Amino acid sequence: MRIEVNLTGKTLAAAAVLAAAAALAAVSAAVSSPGMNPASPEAVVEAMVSEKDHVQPLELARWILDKRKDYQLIDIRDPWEYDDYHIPTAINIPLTQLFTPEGQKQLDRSKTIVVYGLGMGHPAQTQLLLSMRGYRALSLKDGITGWWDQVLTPQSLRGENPQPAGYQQAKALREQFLGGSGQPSAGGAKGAAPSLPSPAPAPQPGKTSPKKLKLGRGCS
Amino acid sequence: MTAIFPLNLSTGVFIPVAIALGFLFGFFLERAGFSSAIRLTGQFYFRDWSVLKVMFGAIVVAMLGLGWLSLAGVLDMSAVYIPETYLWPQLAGGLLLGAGFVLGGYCPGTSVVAAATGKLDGLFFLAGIFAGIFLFGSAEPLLHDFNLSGARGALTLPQVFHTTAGVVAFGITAAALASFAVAELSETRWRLFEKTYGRKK
Repeated sequence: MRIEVNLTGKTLAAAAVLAAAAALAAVSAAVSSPGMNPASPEAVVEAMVSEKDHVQPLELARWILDKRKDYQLIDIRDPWEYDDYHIPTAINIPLTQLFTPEGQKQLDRSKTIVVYGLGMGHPAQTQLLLSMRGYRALSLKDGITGWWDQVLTPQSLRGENPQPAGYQQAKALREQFLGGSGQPSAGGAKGAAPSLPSPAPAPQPGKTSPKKLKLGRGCS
Repeated sequence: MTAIFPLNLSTGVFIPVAIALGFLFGFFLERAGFSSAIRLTGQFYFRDWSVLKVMFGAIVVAMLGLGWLSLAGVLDMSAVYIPETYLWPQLAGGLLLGAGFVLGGYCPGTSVVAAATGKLDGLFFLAGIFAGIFLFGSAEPLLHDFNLSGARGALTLPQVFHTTAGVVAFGITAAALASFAVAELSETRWRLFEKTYGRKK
């Protein structure tokens, strides 16, 4: 017994629907969207344990120097703190505004969101909230404090006799991000970074100490 | 682009909108032929697959629509309510609802549609629903622990399968299309059977 089923019109419709679904799968893999792929608690814990929920300051510095376009750096501190000093390429969305419609509008869903504050508390919680809303998000390890310690005033630049090997590299990085004698800061950073003197064996009178930046108050 | 959905409506606007949507839902159920218990139970004899086609079709349309609107930024999926999973009571409830569907010829929504079109069996079914709700409510203290068993929170398929929502959507779409093909085949066989041996009374 042979059964004839005429499916020409239906086959076309089915193919169209399947194509729409396939395109959705492809596009949603490339673009994160709030609520679409929220990270499960297990996935969040997994990222925490395997240290995949944050980026190290030196790695971020490398991203900035390489002019990478696949991340969006968000400074969640208050505007006056941002104006005082911020990491190049960062935009300022204070934490209190990040999850308002205006704040959400500024987030680029196609990029990895990197949030930082003064330390690790609020940025880590923000990173968690963002991942659970379906964003690909990271926090900057140790925040702007870590940035200061590892990029701007690294170990190899301190002390009496700095190591020559790491010294040049560290000095170049420091000058890149603090102005100094090197090129201006990379990326389209809003506002100029404060120009601080390069470290000298004897502090020159009349200039601010390079070890102290006004980084704002509290644990933000 | 700011998401415009879900709409943030005040209660005064929300209630009329919900009622209007309810009427539309009922209207389209009726137009799909779902006010007839014969049509509905045809599914269980694999004779009439309208229930599967309409329901699975609606799921795919809503799923792809939500996915694309979310990607376009029109809809904020994180603000869409996801019912929580309670594995064992939902399994038992699903089986109970299915058994009621086979026995009574309706599911809750279609019984309202049937009653609205003046079908007596629909009206009785509706009365049965309210009696059942009352019974369940009265027995709740006894069933309380069971009703909360197997709690998994607001669990979604992408979380279960450790993949993206898009991949799950593609899989469900493919499954729907495959089931539609099976439905067409089964219905054709039934038509042939009835043509040969006459329609079963």
